[in-house]
Amino acid sequence: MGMLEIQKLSKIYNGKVSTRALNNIDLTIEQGEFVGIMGASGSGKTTLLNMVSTIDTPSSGKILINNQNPHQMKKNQLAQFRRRQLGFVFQDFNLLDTLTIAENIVLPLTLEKKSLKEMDEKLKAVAEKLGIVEILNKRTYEVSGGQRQRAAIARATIHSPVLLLADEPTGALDSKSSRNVMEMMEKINQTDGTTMMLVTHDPLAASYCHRVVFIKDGELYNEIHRGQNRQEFFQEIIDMLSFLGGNAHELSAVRV
Amino acid sequence: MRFRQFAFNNIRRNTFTYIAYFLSSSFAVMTFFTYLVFVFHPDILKTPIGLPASYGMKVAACITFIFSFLFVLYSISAFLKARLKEFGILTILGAHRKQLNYLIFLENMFIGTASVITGMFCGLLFSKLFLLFGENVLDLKLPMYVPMNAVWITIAAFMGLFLILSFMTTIFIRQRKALEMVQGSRRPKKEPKASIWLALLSVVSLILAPILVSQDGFIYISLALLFDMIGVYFFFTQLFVVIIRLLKKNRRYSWQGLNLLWITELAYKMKDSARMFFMITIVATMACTTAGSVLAIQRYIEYTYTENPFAYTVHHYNSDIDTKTNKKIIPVAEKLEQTLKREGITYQKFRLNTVDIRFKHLGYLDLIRQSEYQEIAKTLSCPNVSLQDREALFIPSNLDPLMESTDTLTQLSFVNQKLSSKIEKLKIKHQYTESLLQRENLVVVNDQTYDQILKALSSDPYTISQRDQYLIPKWNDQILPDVNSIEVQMGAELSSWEKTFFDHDKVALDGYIMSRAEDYYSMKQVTSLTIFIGVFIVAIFSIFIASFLYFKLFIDLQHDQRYYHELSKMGLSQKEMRKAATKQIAFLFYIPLFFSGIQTLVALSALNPLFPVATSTISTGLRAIGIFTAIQTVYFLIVRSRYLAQLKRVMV
Ligand SMILES: Nc1ncnc2c1ncn2[C@@H]1O[C@H](COP(=O)(O)OP(=O)(O)OP(=O)(O)O)[C@@H](O)[C@H]1O
Ligand SMILES: [Mg+2]
Repeated sequence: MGMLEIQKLSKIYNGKVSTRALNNIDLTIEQGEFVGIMGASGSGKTTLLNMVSTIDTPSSGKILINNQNPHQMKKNQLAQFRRRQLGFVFQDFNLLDTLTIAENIVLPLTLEKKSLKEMDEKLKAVAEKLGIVEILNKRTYEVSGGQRQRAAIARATIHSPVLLLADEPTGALDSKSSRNVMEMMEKINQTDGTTMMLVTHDPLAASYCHRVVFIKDGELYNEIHRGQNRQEFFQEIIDMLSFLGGNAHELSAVRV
Repeated sequence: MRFRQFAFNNIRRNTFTYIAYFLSSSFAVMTFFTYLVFVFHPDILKTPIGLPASYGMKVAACITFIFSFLFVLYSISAFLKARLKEFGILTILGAHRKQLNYLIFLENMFIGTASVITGMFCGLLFSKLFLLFGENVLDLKLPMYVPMNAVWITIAAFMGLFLILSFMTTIFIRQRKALEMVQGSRRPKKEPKASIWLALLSVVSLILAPILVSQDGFIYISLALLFDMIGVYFFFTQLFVVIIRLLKKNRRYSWQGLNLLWITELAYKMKDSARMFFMITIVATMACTTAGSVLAIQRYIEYTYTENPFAYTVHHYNSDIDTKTNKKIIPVAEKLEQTLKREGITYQKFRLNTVDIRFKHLGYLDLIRQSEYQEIAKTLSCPNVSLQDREALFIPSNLDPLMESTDTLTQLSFVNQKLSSKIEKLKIKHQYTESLLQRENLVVVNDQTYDQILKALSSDPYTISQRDQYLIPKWNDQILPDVNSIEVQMGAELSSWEKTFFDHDKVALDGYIMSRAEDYYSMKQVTSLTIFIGVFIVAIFSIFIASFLYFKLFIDLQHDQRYYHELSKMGLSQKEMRKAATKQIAFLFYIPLFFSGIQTLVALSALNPLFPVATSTISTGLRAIGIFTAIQTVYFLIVRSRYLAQLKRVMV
């Protein structure tokens, strides 16, 4: 039994034209695993992540996180589940620009009414781990994109979530900052054992994962596991992407 | 596609952005128009109170227009801010400045014309209601008429207003850079800045103001006003930001639950429109203070009626003045008594001879014989005290509070040298408060002392005023008379009878009649009109405040929606969102109200000594504030629910 179980998950967006964004997805992620999701634009990656993060509801199928089905919870209960068990990092709009970096990071803890001492300790620990101690009192628009993203990771992990979800966290970064951010995520995965699910277009970012799952037109297409060497894994991902439909140049043009 | 068509289509497509602007403009037109229909009503000018009142009403019309102007100005800038991005994109796509200006100008004129038409149409329907309401309050007949005056003035005023605003907005746009416009309201806002010194100045001023008000003298009052303005102004622009900053420094509080969320947002919202909040506070204070005073005056007028036991008073002129002319003298008392008999009303008549004597500290008091007093006292069951020589029964009027308290007073000393040498002092045997002769403060002495005083005064000029007091038991039921009551009608009849003898060269009256009901009723009409207009202005004003805050919230809505959307993903529940947002809106609504409440109370407590205890300005002031708060609370609930509904949509 994995820590995240996705069973026969489908999502249909009803509009003028109904779109089947996800079709019959089965996926299991083990405790402490670091999984990447890749696929062409419009293949349903964000949709899948939104289902798991309980932001959106599936049309059919089941999602179990630690054997709990969040989609059966009441609204307030669900909010609480999200802020205790899950952590999020997104491409942009992660942080509130009216707050300082420190305030942004402790936000999940203040909502839980933790003691000031505990918050300070955790803030210090996470800021040191991510190397953002000196920007804590700055505002979000006064720091670089990479720093902002690391702050976002800090906020997503300060409350030790069981599952960290990231949607293109390196999407707006150059390769140096991307690498830096990915190293931080890897470090957290290793030291805290946090289970992670990462959606990305970026083979470089994906190469930090233990396993990469490929989605095509809303269906699971393939998956590859990482061996000992990250460089090799990176190459495998590139090959897989070009195999996936000739649009590897489109994908890799985004980064690398 | 012609450019004009483009402008028109633009309005059609962006309906929702325009609708708020359109509605608020129409609303401003409607209130102004309705009010003018009332002011120019032909029957208002015909009434006795018409002329003085119409002056006040014109002033009120100006105030209404100024409000409308500011209101429309504010909505237009809110509206433009919401659309800055669109302008930016048009610029980048290569629209000329000229075209852009033309677009904005056309749009504004479209909306302006539409809202003038809509506003006047609604105003026409609404003014019928308004006139009906006026009829009830003012006891007048106000039939609907064709308000051409109002129509022309409204069209001229508002078309002019929209024309000016259209030009102004093109200037407003000209100063923006394209990039700035593209980013629109999405740019991260700079943290609000404030100076500690100005914040301290605000604190000091706010403390000084009430201290200065309690001093006597015009200079202190004006100083207090000045300090108050400074204090409030810097409260909103500086002190508030400083307070928020201190609150945030205290992490034990700010890092607790939802506090971080609403405190920070509040600082931005408040600072953004600090000047507007300042203005709201000042105008609300003025409104509440005026309302409080007018209500107190009205209470006072009612009180003069209910506290006066005598329905009529006949004042007799000094007889030796009239004998010099050869006019025929008509006795007014006789006329009054005939009228009462004709209507079959029984009365009791008391004759009083009073002398004005000046006393130390207290000023002029009215001296009365004990024998005359006793008769009244018996009938009205007032305390009857047997008085020895140089003893006095002191009866201060409860309608005209003396400057100093007289409770501990034991004697009355004369100012006049002769009196103080011959009679020395009057010992106060007993005192009680009552208004036997309206605002007159009475001193009752026994007949012998009374005569002695007159004798001592004989070489000085003095006057005995003679009057007849008519007690009509049937009318003393403490119920305020209305226009149809026989007391008011008879009073009016007598006063118009008296008027026919003014400047008459053959006949003259030997005195004049005062009817408490007539006095009460004519004064009441003036205050009713004032209250009626006042209520109208306050109602408009409070709607303006509410819509200003509504705009304020909805300009920021996009930002707030993003803000709460992010938080919601993070696990902020809907309940918590409601709590945080409600707190924020509540502060925006109630902080200005809180200030104007305090200021009103301070101002009215300075006025309070002018009024008798029973009609205290404080209680009426509290009533005014209470009503104002209630109205604002209704708006608060409406705005809150609309705003929360918008935020709820982005909660996941
Ligand atoms: N709210 C929605 N309503 C309707 N259709 C949607 C909605 N969100 C996504 N879709 C559709 O579902 C499909 C999957 O979208 P999704 O956002 O998951 O793609 P993605 O893999 O994240 O793409 P990208 O790499 O560009 O982010 C797309 O065809 C998209 O058009
Ligand atoms: Mg996506």
